[in-house]
Amino acid sequence: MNDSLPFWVAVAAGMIRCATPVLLATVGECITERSGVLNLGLEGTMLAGALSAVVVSYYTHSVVLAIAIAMLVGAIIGLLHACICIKFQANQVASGIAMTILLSGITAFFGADFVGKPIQSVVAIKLPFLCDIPLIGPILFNQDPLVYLCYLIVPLTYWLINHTRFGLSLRAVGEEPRAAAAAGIQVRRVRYISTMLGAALAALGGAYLSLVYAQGWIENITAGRGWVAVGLVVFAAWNPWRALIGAYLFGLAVSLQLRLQAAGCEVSPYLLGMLPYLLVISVMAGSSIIGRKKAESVPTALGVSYAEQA
Amino acid sequence: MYGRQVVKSIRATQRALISIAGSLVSILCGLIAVGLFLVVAGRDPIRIYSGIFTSAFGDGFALSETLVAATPVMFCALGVAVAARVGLMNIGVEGQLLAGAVGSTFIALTLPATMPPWVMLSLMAVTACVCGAIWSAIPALLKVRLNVNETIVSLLLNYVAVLVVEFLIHGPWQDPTTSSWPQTQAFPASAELLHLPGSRIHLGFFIAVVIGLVLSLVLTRTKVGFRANVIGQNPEAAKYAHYRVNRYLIIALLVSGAVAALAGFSQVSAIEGRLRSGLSPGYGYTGFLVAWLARQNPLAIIVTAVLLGGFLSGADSLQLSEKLPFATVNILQGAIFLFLLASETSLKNLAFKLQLRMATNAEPDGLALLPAAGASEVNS
Repeated sequence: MNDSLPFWVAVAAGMIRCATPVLLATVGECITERSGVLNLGLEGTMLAGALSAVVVSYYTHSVVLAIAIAMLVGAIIGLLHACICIKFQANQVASGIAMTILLSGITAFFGADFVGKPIQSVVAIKLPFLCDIPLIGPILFNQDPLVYLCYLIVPLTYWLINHTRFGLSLRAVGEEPRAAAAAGIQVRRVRYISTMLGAALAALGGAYLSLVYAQGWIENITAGRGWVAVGLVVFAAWNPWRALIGAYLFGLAVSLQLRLQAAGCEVSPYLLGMLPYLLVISVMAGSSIIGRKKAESVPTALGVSYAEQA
Repeated sequence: MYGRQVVKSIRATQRALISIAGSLVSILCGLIAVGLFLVVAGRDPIRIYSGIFTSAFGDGFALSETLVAATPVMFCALGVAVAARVGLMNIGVEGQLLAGAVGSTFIALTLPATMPPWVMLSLMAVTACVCGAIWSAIPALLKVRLNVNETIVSLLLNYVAVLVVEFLIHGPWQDPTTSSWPQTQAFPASAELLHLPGSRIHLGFFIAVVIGLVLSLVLTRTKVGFRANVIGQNPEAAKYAHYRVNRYLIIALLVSGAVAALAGFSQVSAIEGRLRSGLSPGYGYTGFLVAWLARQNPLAIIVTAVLLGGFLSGADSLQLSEKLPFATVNILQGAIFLFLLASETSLKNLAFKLQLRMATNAEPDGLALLPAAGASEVNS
């Protein structure tokens, strides 16, 4: 994109862009899992977000509307997953996989008509003054508005989880749902809200993929980024700040791989393409070695359905 | 004592019937929901469904194509079921299938073509199993040593496996004669699995059925199977009984990967005759659904795989005649899966209630069989 930039600055700027969709999904899943619901449907949710953003952007030429609709679609999918897991007490892992199979089918079905269609995409905005900072400026502050939004979402989510009344309920419901219920918290309602919120953020990540990253619809555009996000939540120990680190590591691997290919690297693009996935598996293993003593960071009630006693 | 035996067997039959009914109702609901979806999408669902049915089960040829499509699904589903018995979710069967295909291809392309077929084929099958087991050893070791979630790791490895295949067929293994196609050269005749005369049904189908029968025997009639069940149902109890839980987990995942890898072996050997891109249209994921519909029971998997194989081959032939996107099958599979999951807990409750009624109506002997949780409900 910017041939004038030095190699590593270009890699770093690319890292931010490649990381953004995964970061949004990871932060969303942090919220969901903190309430004790495991949403493995992120891959499908991101696909649905990506396609609905393309469709809305194609017909209305409005990026804002596209993003809003994508998030709404994500929230509806989250509601469905939450309904199956909470109301029908289904296995949460299997439900996520089923959602992804369903949504990859639906998006491929409807997406076929939108492959290669021109859409209204998002342009980069240089933040005045900030983008003039040497080195950091062109990396961090010459990006599109969604990236800036992402800079805000991480601290906001951290604040939401750790310093608000809702966050307190969220953590209580994820740790000790019965105690939370005894304290007057609506366990199910909190879980519904957190699952919808997390899925909406994942869909926003999907919308970023199609509107900014690929600038159009490609079948299976996410290529496993939803699963990557689920893996990164484990690495992040359910903390949005650590999710930021994980997502940027993933972004670095993707961006480096793309830049190396563009620079005519000898290594096969297929081998380079494995890098991000292997990286995520390694960081999951690595964080498990380091964090073995801190096992309490796992929400105790994660993945356990809560049958409310009458 | 005799009375207890009867009550037990009636209960088992009842549970099995409820499970079968649940799976059938889920499939029916899935078909109805996707039918409504097709109406919204401007298609005629009755025409499409009858088309799928005739091209899946309509005549001898259709049935043979259904069995061909069911073969890899059956291998994958059996793989999923082995892991599920010890409580692990191996969604990586898709990648293990590809690993098996890579292993078989390596043997087929390296060994001299003049090898006797049975040597060639058995070496291909064994190598496939080893490769599949290696691929599933990664999540197995990470799970046992570091307690890393096996579902996510095996899923991520599916994407890596696709890239391994792409790397090989675009690079070192690419057919030198047609360099524009990403595929290996055709296998020698000695690497082709036996077919039933006049059809594409191959030995792989019968191997899958035999493996299903053997697994069923091992899981229901041996100590190993019993212990695997205990580990899956109640790991705490298994630890308390000093079972070697970790060893069981690792072996289950290795066997799971090896069985799924046979799907890759039989596809490249009997159907494709070479390694190429897009070898599996998601057989692993279909296998995962089949294993769940069959409640991880190997015998039920054999039947269910044929049913879902029919959906695959039927939809495949409708791609041309009706211009039906193949993605419709994924929609259908996802919908069936969601209905199945949503019904599972209510079915369990229904089974429990029925047993409760039977036990209270029957002789007091039946009461002794009730689980402790139910006892309080009887009193109230």
